[in-house]
This record gives sequence, C-alpha cells and structure tokens, in this order.
Amino acid sequence: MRIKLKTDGDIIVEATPDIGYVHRGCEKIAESRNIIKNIPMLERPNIADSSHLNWSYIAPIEELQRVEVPERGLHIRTMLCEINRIASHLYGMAIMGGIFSGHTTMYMFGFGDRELLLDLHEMLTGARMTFSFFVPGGVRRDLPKGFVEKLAQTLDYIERHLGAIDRVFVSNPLFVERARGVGVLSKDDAIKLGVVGPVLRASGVACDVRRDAPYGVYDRVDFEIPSFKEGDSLSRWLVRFEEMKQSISILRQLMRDIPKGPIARKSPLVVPRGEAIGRVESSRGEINHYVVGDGGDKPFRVKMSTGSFKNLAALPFLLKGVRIGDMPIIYGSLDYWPVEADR
Amino acid sequence: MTPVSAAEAFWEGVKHIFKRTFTLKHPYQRHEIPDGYRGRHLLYMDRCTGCGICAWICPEKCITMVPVAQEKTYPQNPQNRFPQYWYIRCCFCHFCVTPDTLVTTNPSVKPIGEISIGDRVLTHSGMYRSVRNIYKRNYSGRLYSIRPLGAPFDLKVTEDHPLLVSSRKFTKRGRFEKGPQKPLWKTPKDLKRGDYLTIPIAKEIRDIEFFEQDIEIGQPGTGKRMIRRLRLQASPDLFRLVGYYLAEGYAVRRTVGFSFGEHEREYINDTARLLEKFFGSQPKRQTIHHSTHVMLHSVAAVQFFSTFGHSSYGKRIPNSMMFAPIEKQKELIKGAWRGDGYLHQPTRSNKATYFEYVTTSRDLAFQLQQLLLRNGIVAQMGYTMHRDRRPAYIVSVRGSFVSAMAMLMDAKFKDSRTKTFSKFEIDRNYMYVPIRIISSVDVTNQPVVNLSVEGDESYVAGNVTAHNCTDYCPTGALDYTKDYDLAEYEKELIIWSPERLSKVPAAYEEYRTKFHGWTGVDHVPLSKEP
Repeated sequence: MRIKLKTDGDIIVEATPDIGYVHRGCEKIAESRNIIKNIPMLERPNIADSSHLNWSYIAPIEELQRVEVPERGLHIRTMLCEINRIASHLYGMAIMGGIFSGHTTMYMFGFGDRELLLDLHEMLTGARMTFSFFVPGGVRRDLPKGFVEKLAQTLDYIERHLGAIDRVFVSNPLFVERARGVGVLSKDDAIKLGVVGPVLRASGVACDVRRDAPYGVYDRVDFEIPSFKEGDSLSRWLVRFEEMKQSISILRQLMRDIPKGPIARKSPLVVPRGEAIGRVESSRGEINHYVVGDGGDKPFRVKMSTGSFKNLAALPFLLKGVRIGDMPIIYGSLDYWPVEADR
Repeated sequence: MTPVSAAEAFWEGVKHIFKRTFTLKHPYQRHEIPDGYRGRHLLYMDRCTGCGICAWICPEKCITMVPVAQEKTYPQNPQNRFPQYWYIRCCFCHFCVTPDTLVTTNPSVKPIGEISIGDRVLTHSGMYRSVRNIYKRNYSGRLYSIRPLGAPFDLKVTEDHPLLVSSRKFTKRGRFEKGPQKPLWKTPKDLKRGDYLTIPIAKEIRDIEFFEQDIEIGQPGTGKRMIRRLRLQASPDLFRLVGYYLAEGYAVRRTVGFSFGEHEREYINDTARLLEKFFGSQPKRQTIHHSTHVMLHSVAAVQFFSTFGHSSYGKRIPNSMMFAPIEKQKELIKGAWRGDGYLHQPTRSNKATYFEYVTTSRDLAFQLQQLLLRNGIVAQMGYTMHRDRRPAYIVSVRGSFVSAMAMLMDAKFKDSRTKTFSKFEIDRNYMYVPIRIISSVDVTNQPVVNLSVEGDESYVAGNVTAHNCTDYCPTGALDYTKDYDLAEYEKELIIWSPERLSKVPAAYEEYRTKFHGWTGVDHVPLSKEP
C-alpha cells in the first residue's frame, strides 16, 4: 500500500491511500475449495490475528450445519482468541510506538512480550501463527498438560510488564506529547465514516461485538469495554493498552471456569443450502464472513468484511491539514493491516 | 508529565540494564519446542496403506502419491504408493495428519467385502450416501463378535471400531432400565449384554407419479425391434401388484405368472383385476393340483416385472419403491404378505401370535424390514438352514407390534393375548436392538474392511450402525516431528521423497535449551557455546 500526498509546504492538503497491492482474491478461491481446505487460506489475510478470522469463517458454516460446539470447545476458542488479541495489540502498539514514533524500547518491549504469547499458541495449537485451529464443530486439540499453569505464569508476567510500559511511556512526556491531540476523530465523524474496533472506541463509542452480540462464552465472563472521549492517536493507543488488561482478566476467568467434556462434535463435510453471517470482534474491529451454501462441500459464496478496510476510510480524513511529520503516528494508530484490507 | 514520572521512566530503563536480553543467541541457543509442534512430517512406511486421504485434504496440493520402487515391499500397501511432500508449498496446517473430515461407511445388504466404490449405503442419519473409498487391512488384536437379538448374523468388529449404541443401566432389582437413552458412539469394549444397538430408519422420501421404462417390443424371429415407452401410474394399486409379484410371481419367456392356492379367491381376483388395469389385457387362469396360476402373456409386463428380480432368491425392491411414501409402501407390504407371509394364531403346540414372512432373498428380507420400520413396526430377522433347501430369511413381527401389523394388513382376528411386550424399541430415528451375546477373541492378521462414505460418518454393518474408523489418517502413518535436521539445509539438493520423510530427524540435544521454572524471558539459560 502507498499513500499519495498533495502538500502545501509541510501541510498535507489531500491524501489518497492506494490499496490493492496484496490482493489475492481469497473470496473467489474459496468458492473452488472445500470448507476444510478454505480454513488455512481464509485466516492468512491477518496472520497476527488469525484466530478471529478463522472463527468468523467457521461460525456461519456451523450455523448452516446446525452443529453446536461443546462448552469446552467454546472455552478453548475464546481462550485462544484472547491470547491472540493480547499478542496482536502488543504488535500494534510496538509498531506504532516503536517504528512510527521512533522508540526502539517500545518495539523491543512489545515484541519481547509477544514472544511468550506465541509460545502459548505453539503449545496449544502447534503453530506460532496461523493456527488453523478451529474446525466446524469445535477445536482440533484439547488443552495440553501444563498449559493452564504456563498461561497463568505468562499472564502474571505480562501484567507486571504492562506496568513497566505504563511507567516508561504513558506517564512519560516523551511519547505522550507526540501522540496527544494528533489525528483527532470526533464521535460524529467516527460514526459517519463507519470505523470499527479500537478506533471507534477511542472516539467515545463503546461498541464491541463481544458485548453487543455475544459469541463463544463472552456472555458468561465479566469484562469492561474501555473507551476514550478524546479520539486522538494517544487514545487509540491507550484503548489497546486497556483492552489487554481486560483480556488478561477474561483469561483468568476462563482458566478458573473451564468445564470438562468433549472439545468438538462431528460435523458433515457439506455446507447446507442457505446463508449465514459470522460476527467476531477481532483486535482490529469487527470481522464478518458471509457464507452462502448450496448443499455441496464447497461454499457457493464467501464474502469477507474486515476491520482494517473499514478503518482505512478514516485515514484521508485524518491526514487532511496535518503536518507530514504527524503522518506516521496517525497511520500507526489505525493499526492498519494491508493484507486484511486487500485480501 | 511530572518530573517524578519522568524520573520513574528513567529508573525503569536503568533497571533493564541489569536484566538479560529478550533475544536468544541462535543457533547456539534454542527454545524448547513443545510436543505436538506442527513441524516436519514423519512417515511410517510400514503403516501407510497409500489411501491418499492426506493428498486429498491438502489445501496447497503439495502432496503427491508416488509409487516407490524398492526392494522391500510393504504388505499393507500393495501398490507401493506413498505421499511425497513439496515443502516449498506446504503451509503446515497439518490437516494431512489430522484431516478432521469425517467419512462414513456401511454394507447395506451386501457383505462388506462385496461393496464397491460408488455404491450407496445407509448411514446413521437415515440417508443413503455413496461410498468414496474402501480400505482393507490386516488386523491383529482383539476381535469382538456381537450377536444382537433378532438379527440373522453376528457382527464382527475390531476393538477400536465405534458403534452407535444406547447403553442401559441396571435398576435396583437387577433389571435393565426401560426405554432407550440417547444413542452415543462407543467402542465394543464398553458394551455389555442388554445394551441397545441401533438400526437407522431410512427417512428419505421421493415420490414419483409415473413409472417410466423403455421396453423392447417385437417378434424374436423377425428381427424387428421397436422401443416403446411404458408409463404406469405409481398408484397404491401398482404397489400392491408388485407386492404380489415379490411373493408369488415369476417371469418366464413372455409370460408373467402369479401362483396362488386354489382357495385364495380374493387375491386371485385382485391380481387379475390389477393386471388388466395396468397392462390392458385380461390374464388367463389355470388351475393345476389345487394351485391357480394367473398368467399374463405380455412382453411389456415381463420387462416391467424383471426389475423386481426373476427367481425367488433374486427378488428385490428397486430404489424408486424404497423411497416411496409410506402409504404406498403399506400396499406393497400388504401384497407381499398376502403371498408369502402368514399370521400365526395360537394353537395347542404354539401359543404365540405373530406375523411371519419367509423368503430366500436376502435383499428382499432386509428391505421388507426397512419398510416395516418406516411404518413404525419392528420386524426381527431370522435365518434357517434346511437340508436340500436354500437358506431362508424369516421376517417376523411379534409381541406388541402384532396389533399395528394387523391394522396395516386389514386382518380381522381376535387377539386372545392379555399381555404383550417387546424387547425391541423404536423411535423416529432408530430401531433399538438389545445385545444377546458379546464375545471376543484374539486374532492375528485378520483381514478387515472399512468404507469411506461421503457426508455422514457412519454405516450400517451386520444391520447395526457402525462408525467409520478413519477420522484421521486411517492408519496413523503420518506424524508430527518437532526436530529438524540442521544438516539438511546445507545440502544443495533435497528431494523430499517418502524415504526421506520416513527418516527420523537427528535430535541435536546439545543445541536444545530447557526451561527450569518459568519466570519470563529474563531467565532463558545459556547453553555451552561450541
């Protein structure tokens, strides 16, 4: 992706994002493969956040097949998604604070902590990213021995280290003064532009699919939805920071309450006739997969709608009238993932 | 923003000077890789049957089944076909190791060994599905032999083969609890005498208005042949006529005949009327030794009735009638039962009351049972062998189902029984059959067959719903390996052949580090640097 700028001296007059460089035509390819073979492909658009894409694709198929996922399967799914969310937010924070505002420390903190979460992914699913872990009917593996203990230790460590990030960056003018008041998106504009996820919540709209249309076991755990009124780059960064704390609390509740039982039910290798839509809150906003089935083993149509693409609508709006020096931090604060938008 | 917070940030940075770095000194230091890491594949060549499921499920099409020419041959893989990976493409989803897609199997009436790919078999969902693949292997281990009540044959299954059963608990008085529970998949070792096995009831209904068939008309001597379209209305009357044919009919040369007893006036007249209705000409009657033959000389009729089989042991019901609506099938049962079946009423020697149907056709017996199940009547199967006779199958309706059968047959009889019961249970989906005898033996190299069926995951074997074993790579020939051979990367050309896949990678113990107590990345121990 590239951004074409028209400038008046240092001031940006017009910004045009030019997308489509990593377009692969996932939706068309998906029509020619059976539902299982689609799983690895349809989670590739966002490798840092693949479990949410995976779930969003599986949910409508399960709805059409009328397969109910067992309780333990749902818990494991939710658990992996929350670990994935922390990892993805750390990635986004590290990119924004580290690469786009020039703090190597932030970059190292974010990626170093994320490594521990990738180890958890590896232990549970066998892969560090792109898990292909959710299949229609449940999940592919049960929790391995010693996973919960390791998760508890890791969460303690991450929570401790979030304190360090707080001391070094949030209560320290070095980073805050770069991001405060830059790229302000008001509440009305955010709703008008149709942004989703942390970008929307940073503008004062506490909108989250996990609470508005609960899936998995989100209706059985207590969590808050952090939102800020300012709508600037700093609040977008802080929303992710606060959401990680909420994810840690969700994970602790899940660890405590995880039920016994089967992790998956058998499901047929067909998409029954009909149409369904999956709604999942990923770390970059709401993800939808719309699946039409015609009774064969291949979906008749798959349509994806991703958070990155929706949030990109705000970029030309935010860049208008700001200095070129502020452009990286505004771009970074959207946590834009080009492949997810182009797919 | 205060000087204090700036100092705190500075102090936090200073603290990190004394901590270890996040990064590892690769390749001298390496993380401990957990078990189940989705790394390189390992192939057990002595287990792989070359079925090709891994190649079928591969999303990136990086697996090809290649014939391997080598001195050593593997008995379980007669074609010597093994998977070969193209690792440039592999996305390590490992669906090939655990495909997570389920396949279903069954022999309907054929022995399982005679099933061929593409045959349609009944699955636990009550639908007929086609067979995708057939696996034969030699099994060594415990072989279970299960004899259900009211079934002609034993069911032989391997130890790990799941069956759809509804187990029964003992109540306080040492009796079984009444009524079936929700059926579950269980392996034979969890079963006991008295547990319910299940027979699925076919649910598919495909109604047709007309039977259409191309028939050849013409004199055999003249050589003139014409193709005509035979079109018969698929009314309940036609079903009853077919029922008569299944029991009493024969088709010889250009004649279709139905042989009744001389006294069965009602059935003789009914058959004659129906034949005239559908084929347009009046049949002839001939009585020889108290048996009346109703005969119709019609080439069209012969060709129509040929689809139901010629001799008594070849009689069968075609698919179009198996899927017909229940009201029409009732007439078929009625017709057939009037011919070969009978109602036994209490006599001095045998006080039982039951309906019975005797046939030498295995297909017809199982099909009649299935038709009765669709009507909510439990029929049990028997098997008799007499000297100088063909082995016969007996379909009988007993116990509490006799009254329902009498209503179906319009039979007027006085039921003298005061109590009725049945050991079988039936609901909308399954017939529940209690296990009579269950035993097991150790076998070595016993050939066993398994089928892979599209859609569902099950099949009906020995008249009992069984699950297919091939959830995963059926023989467990593929496995994960978490270690990789560093030396492989230094070679110029690597051919990922089955032989290389089957080679266990070298474990570099000295390169591995282990965590002793997890306290975050700060404490990754250093190993010796070479």
